[in-house]
Amino acid sequence: MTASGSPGICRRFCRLFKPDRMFGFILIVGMGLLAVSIFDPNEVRVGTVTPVVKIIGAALLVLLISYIATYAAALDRRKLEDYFFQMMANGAIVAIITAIFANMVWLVFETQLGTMSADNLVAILITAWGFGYFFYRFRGLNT
Amino acid sequence: MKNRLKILRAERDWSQAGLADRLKVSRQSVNAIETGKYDPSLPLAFRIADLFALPIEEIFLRD
Repeated sequence: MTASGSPGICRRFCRLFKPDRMFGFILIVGMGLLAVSIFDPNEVRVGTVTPVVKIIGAALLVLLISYIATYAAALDRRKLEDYFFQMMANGAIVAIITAIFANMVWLVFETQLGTMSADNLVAILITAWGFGYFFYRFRGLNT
Repeated sequence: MKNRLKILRAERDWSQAGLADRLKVSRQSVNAIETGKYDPSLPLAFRIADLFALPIEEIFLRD
């Protein structure tokens, strides 16, 4: 008897992770985190702006900056060679994943390291982007 | 993917920079293609094929 043609559990599970679903999930998680940070009851803010206005403002700001970043990336793609654009894009993926994991590790050691500031996160992102770029520059995009 | 770019370039006695100029890309791109670090995009592969007057499959080969 030969094995049946039906895919295994692992393969079926992997098929669930399609890019559209993954990024839909990431988008929802991101928006949720944004809303939670705005509604954080522990943080004292001075001002009369209501939370709903803050959420709408934050959502519009994120949309605007995302649109500008998307346009800038499209411009980069047109102006840069494909080789350099691919290295930049791969480096950016390294930077994003590094920033997420660095934030998680930082949270674990928060008592020793203190609270991670936005400046810390930006510094990690930029450093990891540069590292990622040169990693692919020396190692190559194919291997 | 393997390619015969280095051989074809040597046959014509072109430098990497010379080939890069003809293809309107950087010398680093040519070097990366020759060393197998980067597979060119389809438009660039067609430009290379046009430049050497060869079909793409005679320049780029499967592993």
